[in-house]
Amino acid sequence: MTNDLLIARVAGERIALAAIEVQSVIELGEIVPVPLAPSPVVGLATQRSRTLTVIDVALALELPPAGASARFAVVVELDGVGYALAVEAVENVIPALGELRPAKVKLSPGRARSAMGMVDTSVGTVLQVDLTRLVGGAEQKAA
Amino acid sequence: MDDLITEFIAETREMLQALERGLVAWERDPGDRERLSEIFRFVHTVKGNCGFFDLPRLEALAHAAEDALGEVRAGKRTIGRGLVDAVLAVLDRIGEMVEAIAAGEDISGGDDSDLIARLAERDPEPVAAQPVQAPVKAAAAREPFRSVRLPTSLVDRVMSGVSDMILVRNELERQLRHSDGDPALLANFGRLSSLLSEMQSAMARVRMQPIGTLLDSYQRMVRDLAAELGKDIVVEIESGQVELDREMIELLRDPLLHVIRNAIDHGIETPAERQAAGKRPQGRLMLSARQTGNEIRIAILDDGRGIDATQVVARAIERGVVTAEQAARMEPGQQLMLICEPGLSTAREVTAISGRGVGMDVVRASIERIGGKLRIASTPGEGTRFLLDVPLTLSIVPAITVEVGGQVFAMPRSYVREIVRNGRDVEVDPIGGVRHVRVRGELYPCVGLGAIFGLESRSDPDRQVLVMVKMIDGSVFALCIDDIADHCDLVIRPVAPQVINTGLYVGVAQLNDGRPALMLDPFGVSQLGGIASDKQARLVSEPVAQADARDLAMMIVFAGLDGMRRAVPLDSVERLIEVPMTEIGRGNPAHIVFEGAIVLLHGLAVQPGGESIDVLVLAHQGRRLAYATAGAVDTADVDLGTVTVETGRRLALLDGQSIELLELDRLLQAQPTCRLPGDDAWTNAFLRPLVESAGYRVVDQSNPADLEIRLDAGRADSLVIGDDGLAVAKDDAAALQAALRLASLRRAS
Repeated sequence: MTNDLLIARVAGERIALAAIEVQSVIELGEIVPVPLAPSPVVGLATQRSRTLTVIDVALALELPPAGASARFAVVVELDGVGYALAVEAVENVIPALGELRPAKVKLSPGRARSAMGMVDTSVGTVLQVDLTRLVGGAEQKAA
Repeated sequence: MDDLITEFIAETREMLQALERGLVAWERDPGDRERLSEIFRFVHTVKGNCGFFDLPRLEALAHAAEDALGEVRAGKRTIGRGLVDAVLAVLDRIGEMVEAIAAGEDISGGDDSDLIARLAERDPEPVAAQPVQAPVKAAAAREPFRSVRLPTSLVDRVMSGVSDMILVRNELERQLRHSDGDPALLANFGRLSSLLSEMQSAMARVRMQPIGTLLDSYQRMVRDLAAELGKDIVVEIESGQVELDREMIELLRDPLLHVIRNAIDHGIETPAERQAAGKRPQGRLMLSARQTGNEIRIAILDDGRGIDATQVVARAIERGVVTAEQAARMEPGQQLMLICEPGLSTAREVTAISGRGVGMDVVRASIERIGGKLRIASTPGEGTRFLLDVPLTLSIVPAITVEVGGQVFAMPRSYVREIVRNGRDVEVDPIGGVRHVRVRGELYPCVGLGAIFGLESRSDPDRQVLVMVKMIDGSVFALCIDDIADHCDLVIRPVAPQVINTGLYVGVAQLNDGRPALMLDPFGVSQLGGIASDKQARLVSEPVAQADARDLAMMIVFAGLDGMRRAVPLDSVERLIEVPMTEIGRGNPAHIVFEGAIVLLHGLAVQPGGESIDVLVLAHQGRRLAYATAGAVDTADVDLGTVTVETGRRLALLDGQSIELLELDRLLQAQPTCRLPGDDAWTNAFLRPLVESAGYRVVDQSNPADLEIRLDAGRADSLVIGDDGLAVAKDDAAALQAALRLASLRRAS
């Protein structure tokens, strides 16, 4: 049983997403802002005729916002809505080298909200994040 | 096997649905042999399928029904009330069982001997006076309906594929426009482009469903409910070919059901009451659907006791919904709408059927949620009309796009009352901290979209544009923007919940250039802009009542070449094009060539200067005509209440000035007429389109015509065009076209 992970770089850190949930990786073009949308929504982007809601992953993890340095996005779909998760870079898709385990260090609140745990890979131990919690971050905070 | 069962369930459901209408008709006239055969075929098919699937309970039931109906068909048995009821009960039971199978339940445990026994009972006397006999005329053979079942996900995928292709086409079109394209390439691109458009409209139809299916599904409910209440009601359904978005049909199901239940329960009286009131004992319920432009109007009419507005008002005052003074100022229509206020009902008794006032508020809310409107009209003693206007589809919305701070937003056109350029005729007053604008003497609150969104306006404050937004409750506010970008039909897609939760957007659309544009929610925007929404205001705001009383029509207003301002209904305008003077065909009337067809050009009484003119291409009653303008084309609401006819022209008042309304019917009369040689398939399919695209109106044989086309007496394969006797081979389209053009030129000179 392989458990492939997509490794992305966010605010200088590596994070892992379950590769099976990722539809594609795109280079971000123009982002149309959504006035008064809650953080971490930064705007809308298109992938052909599909409109994606752009989430700044750094903001979602309460790290310094990536802003224009986020040139790539990981495309995922949740409840029929397409999201583009803006990250600095997408490094690779590699298998997990072990089971997911709880983080041993105390995570910052922003990271802790989306973290599923730590996982070992060939590029070291990485924080794996949960998509629903990452994308719905603002809602949970409001609740 | 699973697939087969699914197929069986779907097929049985469809057949049951198709039977609904027939059943009620059959019950009224059990002698109707065609209906009888239809029901017989259904139970027969069910019986056959059941044996195959090993469903003994269903099989036994269908078998018993088939036997009983078979005897009737063979003339060995007459139809009576008992048999009709028994057969209907069997069909119901079959429906229940099929649903149970669909839900994966085990149905083998039940017992149907009661129904089988009822089927076997002989009725003491026949219902129909004469025995069942063959229909006078042979039953028309039904056209077999061929269809396939597709998962909706596949349909959605194909649709988004088509949308993707359209986007690529638009991109390609832009690129081609900037290159000096090879004509052959451009021609091929044009073909591809029109094929794609055809495909897009065909795909849009895939989502559509005839509304008749929905209306028919209420037949049975009306019958059962009427029987339960001891009423005699005949239902008339008139739905034509009206089709609606599937999703929309589902959203209408419950609100309509509620209105119909109300009509049966509270509206239509019992036969005795009706006779006492001097009416026919049989009540009438009419369900109809009609398409007008982009809207469907659904009407539910009954000839029952009607709603007494004074009673409604009294109840509303008693419940504190309105004050007596407010009620006195309301128009009758508004007073009746009070029944849609929560907790109000005028039914004297609470019945199990429609409860006490629960529902009409929900009905109104559901209709408004899908962008529709509900109106009620009633004459006490004579009946009630419920009118529902709903948009054709949820997903395609006629919209305007507006620009502010370089960003484009969309807004449903149904909310836009008019567009005002912020200039001399607009004064700005701050009142109570909210900016207000005075447009033609009336004061409206004003919301700057850029200001509330934190976008920097890019245009000079004096040149900003005001969109006058009319809310569902009738109140109007001005939305200040930089400019109007476009009028277009947009496909609205859902957007992330975080975006929807702001309350400011309803969805997102993709513009022609592929950029996303958020569709604004006018209600959220007005609230963010600090405009109070008051429920009392919704009920009684007097100025609004006056505005509603005015019969406003959205029109395109323009200056004619002679300087006279003219207006034409917005929905008859197809395009505004620029035509070089050299391309205007002389004659009276003149003509232009538009999309490969000759279109007559009106409004050229004064010779224009300049090298080209702006021409409005109009469509009326399926035909096209063009009208020359001197520019200054804008939209406005014209009050049809001010229309007068002076010296043969229809004039209306707009902004205190007179304006002429174009009479399209009369203009169309100016089109030359043509009489065709016959009415055969060749003439209709081949000749007629040619003649029409040459600018002629085809009239029938009895009318005089400007041009007559006859068969050549000498040669069967040629036609004679006009009195001059120009003979052309029948199958030579190019020669026919040339001859028609020549005939037009002759007539003109």
